[in-house]
Amino acid sequence: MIETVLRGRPLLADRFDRIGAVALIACLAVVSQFMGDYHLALLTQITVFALSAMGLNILLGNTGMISIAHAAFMGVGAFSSAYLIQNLGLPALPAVLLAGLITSVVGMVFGLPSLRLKGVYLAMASFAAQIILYWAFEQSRWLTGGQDGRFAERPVMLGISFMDSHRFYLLALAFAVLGAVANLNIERSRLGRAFNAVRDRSQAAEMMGVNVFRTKMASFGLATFYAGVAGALFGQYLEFVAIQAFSLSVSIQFLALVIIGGLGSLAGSVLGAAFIVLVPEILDTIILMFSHNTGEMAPIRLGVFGLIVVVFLLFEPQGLARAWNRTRQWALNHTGKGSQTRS
Amino acid sequence: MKRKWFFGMALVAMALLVVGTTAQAEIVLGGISNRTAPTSDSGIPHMDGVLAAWKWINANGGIDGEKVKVVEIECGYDVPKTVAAFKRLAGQYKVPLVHGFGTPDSIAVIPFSTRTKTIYMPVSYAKEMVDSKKAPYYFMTNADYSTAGRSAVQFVKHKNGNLALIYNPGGFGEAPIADIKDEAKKDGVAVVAEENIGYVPTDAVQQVLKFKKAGAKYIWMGNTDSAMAVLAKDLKKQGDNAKIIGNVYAGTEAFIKNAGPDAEGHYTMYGSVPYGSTNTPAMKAIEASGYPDRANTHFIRGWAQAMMAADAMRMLKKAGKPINGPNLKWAFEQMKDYSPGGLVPPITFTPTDHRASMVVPVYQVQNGKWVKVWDNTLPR
Repeated sequence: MIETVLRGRPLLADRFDRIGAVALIACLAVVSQFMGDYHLALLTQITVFALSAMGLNILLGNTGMISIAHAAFMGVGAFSSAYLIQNLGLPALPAVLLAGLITSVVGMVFGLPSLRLKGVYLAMASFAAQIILYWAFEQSRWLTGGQDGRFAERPVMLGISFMDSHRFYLLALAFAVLGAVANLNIERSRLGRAFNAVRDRSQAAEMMGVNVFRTKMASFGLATFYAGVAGALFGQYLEFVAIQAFSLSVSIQFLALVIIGGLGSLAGSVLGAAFIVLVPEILDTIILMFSHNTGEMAPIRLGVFGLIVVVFLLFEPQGLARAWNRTRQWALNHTGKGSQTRS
Repeated sequence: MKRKWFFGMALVAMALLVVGTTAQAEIVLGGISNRTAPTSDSGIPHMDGVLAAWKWINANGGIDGEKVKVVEIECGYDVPKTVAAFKRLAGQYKVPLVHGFGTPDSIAVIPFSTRTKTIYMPVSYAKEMVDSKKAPYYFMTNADYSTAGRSAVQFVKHKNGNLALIYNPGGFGEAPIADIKDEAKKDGVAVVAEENIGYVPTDAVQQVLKFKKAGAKYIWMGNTDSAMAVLAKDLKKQGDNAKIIGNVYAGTEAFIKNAGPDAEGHYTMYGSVPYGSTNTPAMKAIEASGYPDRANTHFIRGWAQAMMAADAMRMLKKAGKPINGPNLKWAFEQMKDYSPGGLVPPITFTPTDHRASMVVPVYQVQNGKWVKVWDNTLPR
């Protein structure tokens, strides 16, 4: 049984969740090895996006602080990792972790205004962070290659080459699983409860002895560490890092991802990532079945995607995580395992 | 009930994604387009040119009787989506060739094109994509940005002028700057000023004043047509008679339209022959295509790209070779002084040199039209 670091409470609520999580990971690891390049590319993208979304969920879902710069933080990780490996010759594993740490430091610097700002004002501050970082990417050709981007090699870690896409997926999955376990641990730790206290009422939290500034900085640091590591993996998966992949629209896409998935929910991060990656592809597939051309339908496809998001949020405002919980409850009821619920 | 409906829909959608492949009864090619992102002003006419040309080729016997279908996936200039789309086209549809689009998205595909031995035809002419070792399956229809930039410098030398540079920092605007400066040094052309300008500037007064102070006679511009129009208008407003030499994306029909009378006298390294300027069957077909924007150079270059692919396939049919990536590469590398439909300057590829063309003529706006004023062929 996986236990929490601090209190000895189980990470996953019951047997159903534990068996389900292990089965899902095993299933993904095995099934991915039989997938073609295209489906594997989608699965890898979902996995990396889910890892990144876990970070944003710590910030937005758990601590209640909005960020419209998450993609830019991923960019910091992606470019740092490529530079550390290719220019400084660092081994891939320490380079990815160091890229996460660098992103974390950058994230905390841009998180400083959060002490005085909240709500839409904090959103505007993070918007400024996105603009500043994107501008810095454009200007720092030595690091990013500017508008042309730069190549990022698939890694060799602990003597294992991840050049092969199937093997690289397993690496991304391993990082995502580690990220998820850490996420669940954080949620149940003193720090996680401090995040929730700051989110729900920061003044009351302060009166109870929570250091609000340190808690907010920790939240920014953790969220951007996830973004940095995910960004590094994203660059390695694409074998190329382009600044366009870290634009404002991508940051907004990440916000949409965690809201559609369900705020403050680990399952929501994963389901939201799957939604954001798969729905446009499914729409493309439907169009291709009839016309072999998604081009002329592109503006309509974007509109339909937007409509699906709106309709979905109308019918399931608490996100996909809520739908997952209902399904889980239904399964428990039908297997006679009780009616325990999880938020 | 709601839950069942939800999961039913999700299952159907997932099933579609898994089985959504095509039955292949004809030659199937791929297309990765940009119809929604900011650079779609060139992306739309380019891919429409590709599709219209294939339609015309099919109507005229296809590839020795075999029809060609292009599966187009719109990627909005998005790098991850382009990589996924390429993998879908190369993996699921098993296409031997993909018509591509811009600089970062096309560069991102290089490793996957090499691994799957799939031909990629971008409309970005960045240096990285003409390296036959790094991008062995990349083929384009025009001179790369650096070769075109060198030609611009030689034109200035021919005119006994000096040169100023203005470009968008990064990307295709900045790509040839080092080569332009190198050529200027070789040719003894003075570079008197250097400025940056964004893709969609509101004015260029500061830059014009600096050029005026430096006494610039010719201004090479690496940018898009809207920026070139702004620069032309501000040159006029400030009473500066310097002439702009736009790169392939700056000097277009849209420049003439947007700059109006202020476009007169400026130059460009125009990428195709102007609409209606030749009597080839391809130009006649373009004229008869009915496409609203058929005079657009991007449309004409898209058409030329499809014709180049078609001729490579015909070459394979004639040689009795199957149509696949490696054989198409071989066919392209046989092309010498070849102009698809007479629509672009002559193209030559060799196994070690994928620079499409060294012929980069200079065009000038005269009476509201692009007119060729100088022919130039650079040595390889």
